[in-house]
This record gives sequence, C-alpha cells and structure tokens, in this order.
Amino acid sequence: MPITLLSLDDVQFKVDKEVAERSILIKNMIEDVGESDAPIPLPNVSSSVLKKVIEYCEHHRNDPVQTQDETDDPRKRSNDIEEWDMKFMMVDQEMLFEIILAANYLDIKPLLDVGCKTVANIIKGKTPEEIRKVFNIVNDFTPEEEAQIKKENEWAEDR
Amino acid sequence: MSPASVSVHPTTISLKVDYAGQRKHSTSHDSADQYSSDEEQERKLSEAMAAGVELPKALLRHHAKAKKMAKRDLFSTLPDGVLRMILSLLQPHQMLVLSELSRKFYEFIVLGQEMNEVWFRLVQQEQVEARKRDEWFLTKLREQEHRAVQMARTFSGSSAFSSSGYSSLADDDGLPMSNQQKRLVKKKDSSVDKIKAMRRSDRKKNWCKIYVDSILRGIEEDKPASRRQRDSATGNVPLAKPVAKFQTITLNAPLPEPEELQGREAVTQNKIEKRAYYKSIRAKPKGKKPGQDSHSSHERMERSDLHWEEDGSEF
Repeated sequence: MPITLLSLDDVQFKVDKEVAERSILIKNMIEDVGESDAPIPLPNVSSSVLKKVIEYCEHHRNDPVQTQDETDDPRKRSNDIEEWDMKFMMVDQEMLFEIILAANYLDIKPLLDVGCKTVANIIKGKTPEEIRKVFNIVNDFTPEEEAQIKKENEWAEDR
Repeated sequence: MSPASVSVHPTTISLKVDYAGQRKHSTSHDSADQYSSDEEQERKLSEAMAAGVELPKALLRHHAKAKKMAKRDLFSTLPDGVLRMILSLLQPHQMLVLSELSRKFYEFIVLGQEMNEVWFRLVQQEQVEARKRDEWFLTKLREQEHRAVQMARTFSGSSAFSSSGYSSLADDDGLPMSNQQKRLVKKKDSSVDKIKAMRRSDRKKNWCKIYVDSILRGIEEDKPASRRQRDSATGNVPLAKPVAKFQTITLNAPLPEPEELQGREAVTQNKIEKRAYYKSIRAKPKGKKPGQDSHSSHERMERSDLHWEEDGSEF
C-alpha cells in the first residue's frame, strides 16, 4: 500500500510503505495512527530535499535495518562510504546540510551516517582557516584569543 | 565590453543556474577548488550585469538566492547530536582544530563533554600504537628465532657452529614468511588496529587524568600480554615506582609569566640568603692552620676569587 508524504511546500510524494518505513519517525507515525489515505505531513522537509531522501530510501529499501549495537560500531570510519552513496552525496553544500537535517528529523540513521561521513571527509586534513573558508564560518575570536587557543592546541599538532 | 565576450556569458550563466538549483554529481568536496570556480562564474555574471547585458528575471533571482546561500554558515547551525557524530569520525587533533573555528565550536568542544572524548580517543590511539609496536616486535623476534632454527638445521653438521652464534648469523633482512604466517600477522594487525568507541561507562571517567597517568607518566594498570612478553624478551624491567615529580597539566589556564613565577619576594629572599652566606664566610677565623704554608697556587687563586666576591658582594 502506498503512503503519501506531504512536504513543507505542499508537494505530495507517493511511496511504498517499506520505503517510507526506512524513516523511524514515519514508521512510528504509521504504527500510532494506523494505515490511512491521509498524507503524512513533514513540515521540516522541503520538496527538493524530500525527493532526495526518497531516492536514497528507494535505493536502500532492501538493506537490513541497523540495530543500536551496529550503529555504535567502533569500527565505523569516514572512508567506508559505498560508491553509490558517495555519488548521491555529491551535491552542493546547502543540499548536503539539508539532507543531514532531514535525516536527523526523519530518523534515518544510515543516511545521517553517510551525511556526517561526507562532512567529516571535507574537514579532514584542513587547517582552521581552510575549514572556515569552505563552510563560511565567521571567526569571532579576538587575535589574542586565537593565539591563546592555538597555543593550547599546539601540543596536539605533533601527534 | 566587446560583443564577443558577452556571447560567452550565457554558457556561464547556465552553469550558475545548475549550481543554485539541483546540481547533481558534479561537485567534489575534497577541496576548495569548486568554490573558487564558482567564484569565477559569479564574477563573470557580475561582469555581464555591469556591461548592461539583459538577463532574465528568474536568472537574476536564482543568482541572488545562490549568492545569499553561499554566504550562509550552515555548518554552525547543525544540532549538537549531529555535530557530535561528525566529531566522532575525526581524529582527536582534528577535533581540536574545529575548536579553533569560532566561539561556538570552542565552547562545544573544549568547555563541553567533548574534550573528555578527545582525551579518551588519545588514550585509545596511543594504546593501539603501543600494541602495534609490540606486535611488530614480537613478529620480528619470532622471525629471528625461526631463522636461527633454520640455520641451525642447515649447519648442524658443521663443528664451527655454536649456539651462541645464532643471533649473529641472522641478519636483519626477514626471511619470506609462509602464507599461513602472513595470514596470522594480517589478522593480528587488523585486530590491533581497532579503536574502541566511547561507552556510557567511559563517559564518567576523567580521561585527561588517565592520559597523563598511563601515557605520559607510564603507569599502566593492565599491561597487555604482548608487552609483558616483550619486556621479558628484552630484559626490560619496568620502574618500580613512577616518576615522583610531574607537572600537572591545567587546561584553559593562562600560562604563568616568568616574573610571576619568581616573584619579587623570592628575589629579595635570595639576596638575603646570599648576604648571610658571605657574612658567614667573612666571620670565619683567618688564622693559619698547621701545614698551611704548603698551599698550592690553585688554592691561593680560589682565595683571591673569594676576596673578589667579597668585594663585589653588593647583591
């Protein structure tokens, strides 16, 4: 039975139940409300982002659901992203963060993991100045504070 | 601007629309290159606008939106849980690099619970490195023994061969290992490579103290079996007691100035002590002792030095 999802900008998406249930939030909603034709409102997700999220869920519809132990797996690394997921995440920065926020809101752990790994890969090996430039972060430290923090962190640079 | 250069701009503009809208599978997050090329496109679009080229309104709206979005700091707006997840994927020193970005990140990482995780991961990293070193050492030791046995077998008939010569005959180049040995070493390497995730019970511990005690001071409560083996092989006896004096690291405290360290009172006290010392020397009787005539010239020089110091003892 198809489920209708309603995005922030009132765009409806019809998806299979098993695809929609990749999201724990939607799964719980369906369990609570029971099956109905009424669309499920997702007020925090825009249509463009929801489209991407559905694309991800469609592709991973047959994947086993992760247990809590697996999600806490210490072996998880930022460089073990599947090729398809890597290509899927090759979007502009705004979309990347929107996907991460949507995955967090919809409780889609694997998608959130992939998003976080992508961001971690962007950060890796960069200096604070380079990271600021990439993410448009404003440096609100005074020069003295900045020097002090650099001094505090100096010891870790050799490691 | 010449008409030829204007005709180039539509191509550039169409690229820009892709960026503002649904640019898919065309960007790389690895470097800031993509951003620099975007900047170039933006510059060209601005040039076209400055040249008075008529552009569709939708395109201009897209451009304005893209410009606005490009300047937004979305990373800082991520919820704490997501930031924590990203941090857990980074190396400890990289976590500290993030704390240098802005006040928000400094407060989140250094002043929050995340700093404990930095210490925890440093401890884990050091332990993994130590385990790797020990495993490597034991593998080499085993290889050496294996070589020695093989050589003993080869030269078993030779009278010139002695058991004490085993190690001297074996050079540093490793013999090729069998496939099974290689598999075992590989398996061990992969098991050694793991860094444990921080569990709930770990969160309660003071990992800064553990790092200082176990890594910097070298007090290990539970020494791994490989380390014990290594110590016994090399004859390394661990220190009975840890180093007694060790400067405790205080985080976020301003570094003390040298003048503050000494203090004016300490300097005065030092002067008083020196004065008292020289006074006590002067107070000693200068009478000749028996056999004092045979003083060497060296002693005489010392005395003259003393007199000089007495003269110049205006500390």
